Amino acid sequence: MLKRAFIIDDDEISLFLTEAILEEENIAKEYQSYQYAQDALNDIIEGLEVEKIPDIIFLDLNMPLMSGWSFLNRLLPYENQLEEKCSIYILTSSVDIEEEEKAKGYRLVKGFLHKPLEESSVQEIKQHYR
Amino acid sequence: MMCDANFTSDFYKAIVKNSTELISVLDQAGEYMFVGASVEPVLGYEAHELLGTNAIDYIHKNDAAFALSALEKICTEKEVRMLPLRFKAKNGDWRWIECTITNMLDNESVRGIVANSRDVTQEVENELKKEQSQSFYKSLFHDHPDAVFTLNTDGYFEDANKQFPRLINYSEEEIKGKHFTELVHPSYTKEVTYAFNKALAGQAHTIEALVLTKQGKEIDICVTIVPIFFKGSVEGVHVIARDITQLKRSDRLIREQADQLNSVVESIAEPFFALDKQWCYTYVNKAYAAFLGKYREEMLGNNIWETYPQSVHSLFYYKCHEVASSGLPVSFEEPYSKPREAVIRFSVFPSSNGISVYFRDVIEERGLEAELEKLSLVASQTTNGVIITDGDGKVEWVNNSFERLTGYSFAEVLHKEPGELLQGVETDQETVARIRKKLAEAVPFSEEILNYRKNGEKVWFSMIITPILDTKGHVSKFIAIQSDTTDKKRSELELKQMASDLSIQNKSLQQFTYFISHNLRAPVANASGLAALLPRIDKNSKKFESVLSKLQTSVSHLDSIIKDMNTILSLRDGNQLLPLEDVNLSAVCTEVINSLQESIVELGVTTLVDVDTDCVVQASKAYLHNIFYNLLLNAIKYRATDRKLIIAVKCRQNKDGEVEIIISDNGSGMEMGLVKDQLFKLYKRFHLNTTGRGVGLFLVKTQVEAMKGRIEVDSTPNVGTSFKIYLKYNVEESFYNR
Repeated sequence: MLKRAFIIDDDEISLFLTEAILEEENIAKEYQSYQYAQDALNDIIEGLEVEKIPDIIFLDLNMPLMSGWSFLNRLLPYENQLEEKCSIYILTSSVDIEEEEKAKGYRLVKGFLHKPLEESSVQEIKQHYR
Repeated sequence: MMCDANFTSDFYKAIVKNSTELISVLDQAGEYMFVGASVEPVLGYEAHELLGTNAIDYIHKNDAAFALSALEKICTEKEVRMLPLRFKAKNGDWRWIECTITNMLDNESVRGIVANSRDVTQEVENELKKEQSQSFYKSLFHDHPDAVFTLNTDGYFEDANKQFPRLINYSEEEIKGKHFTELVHPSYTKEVTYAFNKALAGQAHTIEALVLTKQGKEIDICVTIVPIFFKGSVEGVHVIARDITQLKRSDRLIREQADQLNSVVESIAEPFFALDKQWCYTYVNKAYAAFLGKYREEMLGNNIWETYPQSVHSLFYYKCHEVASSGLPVSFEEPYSKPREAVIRFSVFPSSNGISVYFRDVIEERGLEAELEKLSLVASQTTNGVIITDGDGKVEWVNNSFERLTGYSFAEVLHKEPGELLQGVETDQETVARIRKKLAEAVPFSEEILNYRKNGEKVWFSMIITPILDTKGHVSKFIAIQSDTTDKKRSELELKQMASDLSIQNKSLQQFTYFISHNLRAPVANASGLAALLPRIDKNSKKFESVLSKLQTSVSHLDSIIKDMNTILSLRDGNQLLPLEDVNLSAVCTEVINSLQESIVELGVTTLVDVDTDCVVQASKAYLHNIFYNLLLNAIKYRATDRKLIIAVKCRQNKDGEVEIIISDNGSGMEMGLVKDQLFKLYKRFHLNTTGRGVGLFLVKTQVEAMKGRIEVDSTPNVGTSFKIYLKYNVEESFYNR
């Protein structure tokens, strides 16, 4: 079981839903939800120093103030430190294929998921970490 | 020897008779009392013939007075010598008689005046002859039309005639004692001195020299130097000098002209030759010699018809004869097939001693002329406008089609730059600048430009401009060919407009897809996710209720989004035919503030409205209301929490014919660097803790633009936000005529 999962989504309902599904599937010991990507970014950067980084991040793309893309870009300088330790899964309501292609350009992004998060997807991820 | 007894009277008589002395005795009145017998051989009279006659009567009337005065004089003097006078001999000749008379009136044996006379005719005549010849030579000296002067053997001036001062301006007095070298130009001193010495050696000769007048003016003279012989030795020289300055000058001029003429004829690239009356070459220029491949020297003097018998009976042959007999010049052309195809244009001129001929091959010109004729036909008949300008771009020629296309006649554009007349307000200045640059670079180019016909009608011309360079590489002409592309251009512009419309349409379609993909799908995803979760949760747990309520929220969210979509779609479709009306800005502002009165009072908001009550804009009242409502509502929503909100609405007209509406607040503001690209986009939100859905500003912008206005925003975090809306107050034309 994974230690720590971050969920970043400005949509309160979506955030609630994703956390509820992850809990149901028991993927991690601890879940942290962020409505604001900047907060999650701060926690990750601080956590790097004390080895307290999330094992997995579910990231929405379309968010005010700091979008999912901005978040990914801000993490670029830490890519080397985070790789192997932290996987990011995009979780978006968008069905835009271009965005999926774009996401493949980020080394930390391990998957592209469409909302709502489905049981089967979570189980696949769990398989991966077994 | 008076009386001596030894001599008889006959003795005396003989002596007297044969003496050349004529002795006679006269009384006081001059009457002969005695005449010696020697009168007969001298004057032919018998002695007795004269006795009793008066001597005065025989004397020449010019000399008579003189003789009478001598008679008077002798009364008081012993002896009077008289100068020779003329006495009439018996044969009627005048003889010159020299006479001495002696008063012997007191002598008892004589009682008269004794005259001793001698015939001096020979001497007097000799003397006269001498005098006459001297005067001849004097005239030759003094009255000579040339300057004549005498130099002594040392070369000093002795005498000069009256022409002399006219020649060199020295008077006779001034010149005396001067040495001739003082007058000679230094460059001639040696030569003249030599000539002088040659004359002293006894040789008369003539030389030319340059001398200086008293004023220093140089004159050319021709001098003849003649030695003066006296008793076998040279006593000096006579010099006859003539001014030949004019002569020299004309001589020089003639020579120069001849030289010039010669070099002109030589430099003519075309063949030229002269024939004398016997048809022999007297002059052949280089080109002619080269034309025939001969040396000039071998041609001169040869008869042309003998040298070129094949030319006899040619047109040239007959024309040469015609000129020789008529004395009038002719020009003609004669075609030749040998040695090569040629059309020779001859010009034959009569001259004083024959004829001159000048010719050249005009076959190429003929060809060019024919070609030019064809080209000119093309240029004048083509349906395209053709303009020919000089190197400075000033019109030299235009064809008929130019007149038809532009409405300007040839005379109206002559010597003008076509652009001056054809370009107008809407002509693209960048195109004009580009054309100027290309013209200056002298390279061929093509351009499309908006011009104006004489009647003001707009016309698009496609221009092909070609510079024509002279042999030195300078532009001598430009040729411009214009074709009317107005129709093409119009459809091009229509296409462009269509493309732009399509692009806008496409953009909004993309936006719609994005909207569906992101915003419409989000609540749907939530709802379906929650619905899937629901069966797995205990119906009696708190979580079940929470999921259920979130499901309800999601569905109502979906509903409101669909409503927004409807608004947006109807707004977009309606834009094309949006009717604009006069809207009083102040009234709309007041209405909106009133509708928000509740919040304004509750939150203690200050509204500062500075809008002229007369300010009227062309707008849609509903849109304007919505715009104001959204912006004011935003100001209220995003107010700063630590201070009372102040909203200011200002309105002013700017010089571009726009109304500028400024709505500013002292609210929480935004970081412009973060939001500026996103602010007016649909479903973009920038605040987390408020109720916005991200539709308001999208609608505001869409509505402003539907009224042909624009909107700008400026904001500083924690200071405030300011929206500026620009609306045209007379938008009718630009709106309906797009």
